[in-house]
Amino acid sequence: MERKFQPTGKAEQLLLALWLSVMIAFFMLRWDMIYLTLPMLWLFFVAMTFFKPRLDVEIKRILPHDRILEGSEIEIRLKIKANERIPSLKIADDLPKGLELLEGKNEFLLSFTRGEEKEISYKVKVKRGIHEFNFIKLSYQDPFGFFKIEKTIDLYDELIGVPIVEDVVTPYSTKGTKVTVGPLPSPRIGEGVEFHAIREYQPGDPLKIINWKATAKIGKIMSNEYESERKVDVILIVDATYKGESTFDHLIRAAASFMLDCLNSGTSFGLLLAEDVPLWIRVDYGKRHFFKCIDFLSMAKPDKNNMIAYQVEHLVRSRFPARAQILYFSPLITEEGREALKVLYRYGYKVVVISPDPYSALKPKSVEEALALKILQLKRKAHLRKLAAYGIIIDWDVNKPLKTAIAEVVKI
Amino acid sequence: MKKPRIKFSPIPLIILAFLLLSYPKILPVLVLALPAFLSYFLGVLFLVAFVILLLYYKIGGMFGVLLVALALLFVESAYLDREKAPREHYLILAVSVLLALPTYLFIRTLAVAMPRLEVTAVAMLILLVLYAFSKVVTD
Repeated sequence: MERKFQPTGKAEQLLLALWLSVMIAFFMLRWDMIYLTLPMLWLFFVAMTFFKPRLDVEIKRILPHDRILEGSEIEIRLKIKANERIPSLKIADDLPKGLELLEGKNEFLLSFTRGEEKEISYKVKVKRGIHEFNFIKLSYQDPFGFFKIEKTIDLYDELIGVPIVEDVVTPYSTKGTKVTVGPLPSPRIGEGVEFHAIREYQPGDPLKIINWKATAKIGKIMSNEYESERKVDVILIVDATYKGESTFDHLIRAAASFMLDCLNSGTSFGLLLAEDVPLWIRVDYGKRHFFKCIDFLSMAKPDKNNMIAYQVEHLVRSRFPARAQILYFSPLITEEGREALKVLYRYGYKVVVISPDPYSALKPKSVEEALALKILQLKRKAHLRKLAAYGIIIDWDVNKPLKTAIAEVVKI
Repeated sequence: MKKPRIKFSPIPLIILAFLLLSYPKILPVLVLALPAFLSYFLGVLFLVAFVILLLYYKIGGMFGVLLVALALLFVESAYLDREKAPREHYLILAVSVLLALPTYLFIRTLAVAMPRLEVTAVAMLILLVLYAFSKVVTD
């Protein structure tokens, strides 16, 4: 808690007048008339003695929820209780940059009697990201405007603007196969299992899967190993390059929408946020995992990352599950971004690329700009055509719904 | 240009003008008072000029203190007008400024017993105010 007490320019001016009056009285040899300054002295005395509060105030900030959908309007309320009489108190809430003020102001001028409680509010529009409220500034000026007390109360609150989620059509097959490898005792048996290989019997294996022929031939008890048909693992890769800043929010919304689609279809999913410092969230199921990923997506920012191909290759080797379905969200605007797609293809992954067109978000202001955009769009189309061999590419004009863009490419 | 907000401030100015009617030499200084509606600094300049004239023409005593009190009241209430202050602030201002009159009267009464007390008392008060002011600032 920081506190400052300072005289205002007005106090300094009157003090100067007082000083000048005294000096002139002496210079004019009328020093006995110095009592003419008595009104000024009384004014200073009253202001300093009776109007100097301690600013003993209790403040609470009330947010409707800690996670809010981006674009929503919310009301932020401040509850203030003054433990002393304060004739005029200015309260300024620390409004994070990502919140747009819609109604009211985040600064208020109030007057309190002792023990009085007041509630004030203002409305804001939430943008995607993490919004931190750090403090509330109080400032008091005495009724004559001679002194100012400023006090900063540390009051931390956090608001996460989560991306808007749209309905999407799943552009890949959710059925996949997972091989039970290593010394796992019991492969899945039941509907949809297919023979995969023979391995040595492990204690705990059911008698049903013992391969008697192979046992007789080799002389050791052998078991059949099956591939169980199950849902595919989905890996979402988000290319957070700063060059795609114009469509970055769309990129994040698309990733969040597909994540919800995974949650609804019961597939497991992992997330790679390819920022300057990459963020990898391992493959998992469920709502908790979904909200964890959504929180990270909410906080993602475009970054000067030119290492995405390296990051992807490193994770492919060490973390990505085999035969996973990759959803790659990238404007494909950088050479590195395009290289990352080639890396995934080389390692045998099935990739669906959701590529918001960064030029579709721009509105040309002149004929020259329109022409320049046209050239850039053609260049992009040429790049996408070359990359079509490496995966399914959904070129998304962000002015259209994502669902339409998917339907144009994938036949459902 | 923004229209200056005027509410109660003309009251002390009118009284001041009325009191100065018998002093035609000082009366023109009230022209300097008009810019005080616009800025506090200009008001302070008027106040200093007014005090200088009072000193020059030796207009002191209870009447002199009352004139300074009214001039100060005018400058301060012009500021309160601009700040849209509540009425109680005007009242506090009037009371605190006019307290100079009983103080002067008190010093004057004491001065009969203790010669030249008023100058010493005011000098002491100035010292005290300056001390309190510097203490508050350095705190």
